[in-house]
Amino acid sequence: MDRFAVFVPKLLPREESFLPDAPISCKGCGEALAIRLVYKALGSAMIRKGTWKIPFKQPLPELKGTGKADAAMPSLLRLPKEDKQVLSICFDNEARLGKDIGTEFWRKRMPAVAVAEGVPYVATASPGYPFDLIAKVKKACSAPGDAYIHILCPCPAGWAFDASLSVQVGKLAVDSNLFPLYEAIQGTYFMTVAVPKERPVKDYLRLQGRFQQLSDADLAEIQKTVALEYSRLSASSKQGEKQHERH
Amino acid sequence: MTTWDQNKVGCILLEKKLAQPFKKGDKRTQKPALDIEKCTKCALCYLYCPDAAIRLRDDGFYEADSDYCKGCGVCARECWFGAITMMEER
Repeated sequence: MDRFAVFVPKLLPREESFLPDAPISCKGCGEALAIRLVYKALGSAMIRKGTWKIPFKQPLPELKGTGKADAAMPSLLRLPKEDKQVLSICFDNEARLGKDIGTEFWRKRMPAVAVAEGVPYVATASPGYPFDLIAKVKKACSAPGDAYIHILCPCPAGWAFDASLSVQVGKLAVDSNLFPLYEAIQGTYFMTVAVPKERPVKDYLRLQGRFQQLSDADLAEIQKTVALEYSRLSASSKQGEKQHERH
Repeated sequence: MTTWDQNKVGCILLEKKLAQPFKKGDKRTQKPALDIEKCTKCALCYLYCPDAAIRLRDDGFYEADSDYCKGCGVCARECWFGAITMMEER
């Protein structure tokens, strides 16, 4: 029975911990959706202990220059576990507010850095695959040692796409292999979502206003890099019973 | 007749409150409308709503609470059965 899981939205906990203190977010905010799902997975007892290292409530211009993950710091939720261990959840909306605007660079591979640092449980998640996200947060709570979860949050205002596409963009980032969902337990990678049909990176990038200046040559180059990275990742990972969700 | 000292102070919060009493769905231009005949009560709209605006009604259907809905249209896009359409706000 361990291999089977039920994915029914109705059976999720009804409690809404995010709403009462919710700051005023834009419509279709992927970060708000991710926080809501994380809070659903955590339960109210864990949430009360947590602190926002860089709070979600903080207005965006003030984040400038505080960067650690990259030029801009995504908001970071830290939850203490037993024995001084910490579960960190990074909500990355890829807002490069600092000096990097106009320069060409690939995003910093924060989960890979965490794996290299020896964090026992590292995972990536996307609100486009909500049950996968919930399963990973629950697993990170119960796993021994520190844990780090990197969540890619689509931002309709910053990425310039229609607000109703928020979940679709989160799915496309995974389906185009640009943001593969995996978890690394003690340094061993496991792919958690079997992508039903691979999509070209173009579908994901052309949907967003922030990548409109890319030429076809740029897209081909990005596609090549993504394919290389994904083949490297899937070669080092073990596929098997670890899959949480099939779509 | 009211004098100046009987008027309430404007634009000031007089007591400590959470964000909950404030209605956040005021600025929307579209609102979701539910077609009960197509709805299968699968609760996908409830799962994907970023603002937790979709509530369970007494008869088992899920409907957007217009005090919190911002009209983003995620629920209409994600509904498998096309039971939710975005209507112009009046």
